[in-house]
Amino acid sequence: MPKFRSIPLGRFGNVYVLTIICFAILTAMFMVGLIGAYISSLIIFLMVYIVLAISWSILSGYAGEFTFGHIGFFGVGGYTVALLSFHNIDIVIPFNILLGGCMAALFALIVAYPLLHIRGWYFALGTWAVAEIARTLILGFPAVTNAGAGIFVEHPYPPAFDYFGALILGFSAIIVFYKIINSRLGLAFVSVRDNYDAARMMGINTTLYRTIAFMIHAFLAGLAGGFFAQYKVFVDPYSAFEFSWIFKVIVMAVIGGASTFAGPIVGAVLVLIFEEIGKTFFMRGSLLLMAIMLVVVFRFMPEGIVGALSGRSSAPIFFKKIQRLLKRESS
Amino acid sequence: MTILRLNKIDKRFGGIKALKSVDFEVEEASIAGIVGPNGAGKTTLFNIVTGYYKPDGGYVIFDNKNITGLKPHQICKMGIARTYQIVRPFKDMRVFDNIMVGAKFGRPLDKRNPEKWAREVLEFTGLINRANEFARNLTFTELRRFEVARALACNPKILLLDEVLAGLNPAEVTVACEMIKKINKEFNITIVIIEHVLKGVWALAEKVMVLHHGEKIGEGKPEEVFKMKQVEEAYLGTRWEAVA
Repeated sequence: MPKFRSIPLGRFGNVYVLTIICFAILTAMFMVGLIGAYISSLIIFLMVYIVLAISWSILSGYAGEFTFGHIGFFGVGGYTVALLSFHNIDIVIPFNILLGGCMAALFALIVAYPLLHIRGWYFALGTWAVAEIARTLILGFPAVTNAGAGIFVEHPYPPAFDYFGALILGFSAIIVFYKIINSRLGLAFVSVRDNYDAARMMGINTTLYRTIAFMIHAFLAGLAGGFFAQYKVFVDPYSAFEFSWIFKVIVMAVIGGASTFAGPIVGAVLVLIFEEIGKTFFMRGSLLLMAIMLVVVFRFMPEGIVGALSGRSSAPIFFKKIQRLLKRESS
Repeated sequence: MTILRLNKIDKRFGGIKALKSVDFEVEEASIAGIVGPNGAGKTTLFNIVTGYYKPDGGYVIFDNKNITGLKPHQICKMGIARTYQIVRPFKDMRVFDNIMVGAKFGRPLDKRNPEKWAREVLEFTGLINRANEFARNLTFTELRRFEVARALACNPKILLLDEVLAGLNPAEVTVACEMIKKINKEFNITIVIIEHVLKGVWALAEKVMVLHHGEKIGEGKPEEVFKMKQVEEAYLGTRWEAVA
């Protein structure tokens, strides 16, 4: 009997074991004191990036709906946590962040109805509009949201709390991502992406699955936003909905490979490294590095680095073509 | 027993009447054919049966239930599967996963294992050796079979085949016809086939409907239908003597 590889896009060794090992190593290193304040802040950022990249990949890489509105849900999550603190509603720490995720998912459900009637680039622009709407709403009700002045979030926890919180958030997002893409849900997402009409004709309720993808993406972005607000201790409508974050997240997912399992994670690591290197050269140097990387990846590995390595991309053919061209010119 | 009944189906696209009051009945476990020149409305008819379009008038009865206006995925779950004239594979998925979509989301398999069923379908259509290939790497003839396999994987009661023989050479047509007959006999699936290759329809269909400009101009056994004057005219034009 031949063995069949089911859903090709997700397989990646034994993910559970790998995840636990990584988690254990990072925990141990922190315990022994190998990780100082700087490294631990990097790891916290990395985890937030991973969650965001994964959330973008689920909707755009797997379900095939390109979105610019990602940061809107990040902001909704952040503002949920901030507003709870602002109005002195006490909810213990993991639950206020979870509530942030749920509020983002709820917001997604509400806007899904008008948004999911449009497709492709119109959808992408629509999501951007939604993010702006969320920001404007916050600016529009100063009595409730303190508008442009921003909100300080109470944060009575020690730094280790942030570190482990980030690890738990990041690694559980990875596991959830892996679970989703290797399940019936993932199969439905990829079918809808690859051929909308054929998916409908084969019994997939496309509206339902697109809504689910949209809500999962919003939930994860909201979690990241809630955590980030708690970690940063401050949100305002400009930082919580900052547009450059959308660019960053798209770069992560795309250079890693948005429709692969490891892609968003690899992309998040790369972007973090670029940021740190870029910062040392000049202001916004990281954006320049990322932009160059994006162009290179688009040209030679349209399916991202992980996509190219796992042989799903036409990258090898490109390289061969270039080699041939060079040979011809030299001879 | 009639499994599929179309009653006075009308469909307009703007000012064009694509279908004018078309009636059609398909007997359970039979093979029926729909023929007609280009633009006759054959594919439109399939699109109406599968719920892709809503008819402007008339209704579709399937298995004693009115399915007019249901969503395509609901209709698929009830047991109507189709193939496309222009194949629409999920290109970035492996062949096996393409089939699994049908097995998991089509008409429920009543506790049968979807993976086993997918394997069975692949074996039946001769694609078992290509199961790990990405769908975009299949050849033209493989894609034709693949399209049938995917529809079959949905576990349908009735299978709508839209020009599955087009572009195949005569030897391949014979093989494909055998396969369609086997689907009909072994899986006990009713088949409606749209075809330009008249040889195929002739060999397969027990009953044929001829459409022309959205109107039914003939119905009956293939050998009778193709002798009808109006059918001949639709395909070959009016005889010179008849005009003069």
